[in-house]
Amino acid sequence: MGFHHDEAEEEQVPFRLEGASGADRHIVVTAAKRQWLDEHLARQWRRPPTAAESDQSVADFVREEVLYREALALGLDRDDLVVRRRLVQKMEMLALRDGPGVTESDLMDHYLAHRAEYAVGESASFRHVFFSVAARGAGAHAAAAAALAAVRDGGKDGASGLGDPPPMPAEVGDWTRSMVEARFGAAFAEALFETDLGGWSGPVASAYGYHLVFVTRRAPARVPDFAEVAGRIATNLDAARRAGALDRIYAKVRDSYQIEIDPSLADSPAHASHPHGHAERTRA
Amino acid sequence: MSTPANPLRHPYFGELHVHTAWSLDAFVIAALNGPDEAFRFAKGEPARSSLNNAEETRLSRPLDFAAVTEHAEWLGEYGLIVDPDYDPEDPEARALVDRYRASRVPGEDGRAGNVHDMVEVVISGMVRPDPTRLPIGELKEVLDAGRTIWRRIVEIAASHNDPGRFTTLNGFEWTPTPGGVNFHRVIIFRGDDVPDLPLSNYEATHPEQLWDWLETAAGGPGNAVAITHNANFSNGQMFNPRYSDGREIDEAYARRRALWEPLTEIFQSKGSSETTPAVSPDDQFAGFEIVASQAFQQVSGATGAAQGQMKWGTVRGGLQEGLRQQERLGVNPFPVGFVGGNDGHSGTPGNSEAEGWTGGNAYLDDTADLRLFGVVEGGLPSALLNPAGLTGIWAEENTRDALFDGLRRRETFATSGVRLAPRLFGGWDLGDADLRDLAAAGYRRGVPMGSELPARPGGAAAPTFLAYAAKDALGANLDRIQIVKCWTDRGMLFEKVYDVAASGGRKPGPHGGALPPVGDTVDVSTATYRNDIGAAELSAAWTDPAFDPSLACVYYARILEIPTPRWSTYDAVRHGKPLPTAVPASVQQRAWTSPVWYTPSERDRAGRTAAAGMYAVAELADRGIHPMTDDQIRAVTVGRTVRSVNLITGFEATLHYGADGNRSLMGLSDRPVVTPYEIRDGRRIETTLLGERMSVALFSVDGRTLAARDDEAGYVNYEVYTTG
Repeated sequence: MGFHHDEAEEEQVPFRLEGASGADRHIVVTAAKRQWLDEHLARQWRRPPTAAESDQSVADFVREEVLYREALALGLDRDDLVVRRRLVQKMEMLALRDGPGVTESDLMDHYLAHRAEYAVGESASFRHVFFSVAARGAGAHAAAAAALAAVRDGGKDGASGLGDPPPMPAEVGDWTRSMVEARFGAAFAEALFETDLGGWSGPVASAYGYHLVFVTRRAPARVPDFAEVAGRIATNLDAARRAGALDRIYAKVRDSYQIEIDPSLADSPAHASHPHGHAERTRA
Repeated sequence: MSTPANPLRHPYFGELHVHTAWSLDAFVIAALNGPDEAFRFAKGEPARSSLNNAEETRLSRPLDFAAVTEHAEWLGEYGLIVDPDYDPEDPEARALVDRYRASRVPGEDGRAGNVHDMVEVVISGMVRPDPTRLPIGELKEVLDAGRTIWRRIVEIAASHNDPGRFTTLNGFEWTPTPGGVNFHRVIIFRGDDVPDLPLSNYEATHPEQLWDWLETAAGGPGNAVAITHNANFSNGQMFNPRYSDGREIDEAYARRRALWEPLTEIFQSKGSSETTPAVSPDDQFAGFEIVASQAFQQVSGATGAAQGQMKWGTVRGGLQEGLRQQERLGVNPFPVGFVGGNDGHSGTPGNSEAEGWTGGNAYLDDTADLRLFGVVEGGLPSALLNPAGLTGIWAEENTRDALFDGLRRRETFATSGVRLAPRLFGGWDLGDADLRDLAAAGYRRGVPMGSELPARPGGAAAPTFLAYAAKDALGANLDRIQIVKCWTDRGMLFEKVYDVAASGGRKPGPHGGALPPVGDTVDVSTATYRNDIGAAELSAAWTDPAFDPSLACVYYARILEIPTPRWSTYDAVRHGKPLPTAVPASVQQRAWTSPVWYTPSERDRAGRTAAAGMYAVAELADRGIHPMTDDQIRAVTVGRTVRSVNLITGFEATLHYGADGNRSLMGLSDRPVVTPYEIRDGRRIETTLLGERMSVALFSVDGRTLAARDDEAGYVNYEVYTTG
């Protein structure tokens, strides 16, 4: 972010600025630290910082560090909601770092359990020669029918110079039925998925006119191979892993705590009103 | 195998502007879907429009691409509110958080989201000149929560990205609304390389600041693009050639705006921004889904701009102003291509179909009665709104890189919601023969929509445009293709609409003129139409019959469908309701291509010979002729009746300047139109018929009295005759 926020933290502390002592009053800004600060600036602005910016960031760091140590010495971190939540967030990062990464076998397990969710509808690859009703009027059907023999003579490549420029690609690869419907109309899609493979046939009516079609390949609705969807599964699993990391740690240590809850206070009714699922999403 | 990358490009349809329940203003009106549900909806799965709406809806076919664009303003606040562990100690924050959470619980009427005052809480901090955050949490908490939510949105988008079949793009909306005036921009990113938090109006209230951020934090022009929207809600400000602080723009502004904002959303659920019948009185089809003027002021609370200024609140006016500024600055600040969008708050991207629409703004329109007879906040009748527009991008393949490059090239078009695919190529040696293979010819010997024409070859008299459109494969036939031409001459703005192709053997004349209507097959009582008029495809090679190589101009194509029932007619018939009276029962849905621009070379400009007796202010100064003083102006003005003649258009007006400071315009109606004027600082400052303030300098030249308006780029365009 390129803009400064007005972070007016509330100060309610009677100051006795002698909190930090001894070694806590020794601050060393190492070369590595300076480099880290510079990199941080560069990331923010997407260019290397100037010397002046770099010096300023060191000064800012020292100022922050001094005040931070004083604040710690005064115990200001205790019972502070922001600090609490930030530390909890760091636990999550820790959990992610130390927890198990996503392995190839996790991906495969997920694939086997959920592969139906990645299913792709039936699809077809085909070529077609188009005869436009807008250009030819009522003669479009006859023109298409008359051209069938010549197109057949040309084999898979058809014959050049026949037909009109189509409003969609002349060669279509691996389109699902809904993609064909969206571009050609429902009746065409219906006919196309019943056409025999490997030869020219037609005329087939579309929203725009008549087509001679050569279906080169047709695939039934299928579940993609693992390799095809491994990338998407990794993205999904990674998100799930983030969501689960803290839960795992929490589950591990929770039982070692003794927890007492005063039953006299009822839960706020607002707590019952969360939209399903949102809480999980934001806990991240 | 997938369809091979197509060098002649393919039109992909999708969504670049939609909110889900993760935008706080959608959350409080009982929106149900989050980003995950939104992407699923875009891919064809069913969804509901709100917590209250049991009726599911689904797209008749999936989109090719989509972005979920939440408001940056309240990402963190939203995150805290939905986090059950968040329990602020501050009583004010506690109360507000509880009320937001309660907005999700059905009230006495059984409906959730019945909290109009909460919507106002969300919006009110935003319309102030110095926006204030909602008092929900400490700033750091809010920003941290915002980062978490933003990261989740990016992750969800990544999980749905399926190159070749369905592409997701990352984006957000920056939403400054100072004084109720819409300066909103949608930001779209190329890929996953995004800043850790989007920019909100709390950090930046002006576009100039947004551009700073885009240049630094957002990774530069190859990584991000900003899209303006709702010029119609900008109170005439969207294309006002001024800095945010009121200074006249300069070359630096023009360069930066052109770089960062190459696109504008010309159509969306809150109406068309193309133009209005008042701004374009000669455009027979300008009156389409207009939600501006009074409705705007009701919603925004802004004080109204003069009607004349409203030109800057239209895209067509912006194209014209861009040319005028280009002549002054050498750079066009507003070279915008077009996209269309939804801007709904139900998390249903691409929900733009008129038939069977179940609402797009959650609590506000989740019943037929609310859609047809309700009002959205501020008193705007819901019936004036519409389901949504769509964006089309011409691209080699359906991937993030190819689509983003298409946006950057402006090779885009907008539709009013239908999947009608238009093409437009311009060039100097294109002709009828090229229609057979128009894309190959267009790319080889011309330029596609969104581009500037190549330099004019010596012998070329005028540019020719190849225009083509294929109807929506599941929709209505086409009525006509039009080309809208805008140009500027001596600082004045002009436009003309040409019919260039029409169905059913109707032949447009070369210079325009009225084409017979296509007909109307709509049966309002059943909300049906017959697709037996119009054409499935239309095309034309059109040469500008009035091209002047010395003048900059811009062309775009508009394609009209035959009349079909408006969404409100489908809705009323489906639910047995009367038709709302404020809107037409049928409409001609349409598409707009991004424009093609022509910029004259220095040589072409020099070829312009000024007509005898026509001057620029600077030329007069060279001859030692200076503007009249206040006293001289008074002598030829006060108590006089004058005839003012526009030397370019021939338009004449008869005006009487009374001693009481009022100007009476005679002859336009049966009584004079009276507006105030004053004379000071060597200028006569008047209020025009359209309510615009205009400042005029007068000159005495060779015994004639000539006049120059201050907004006409220093040209002296009027002659004034004293008649009494």
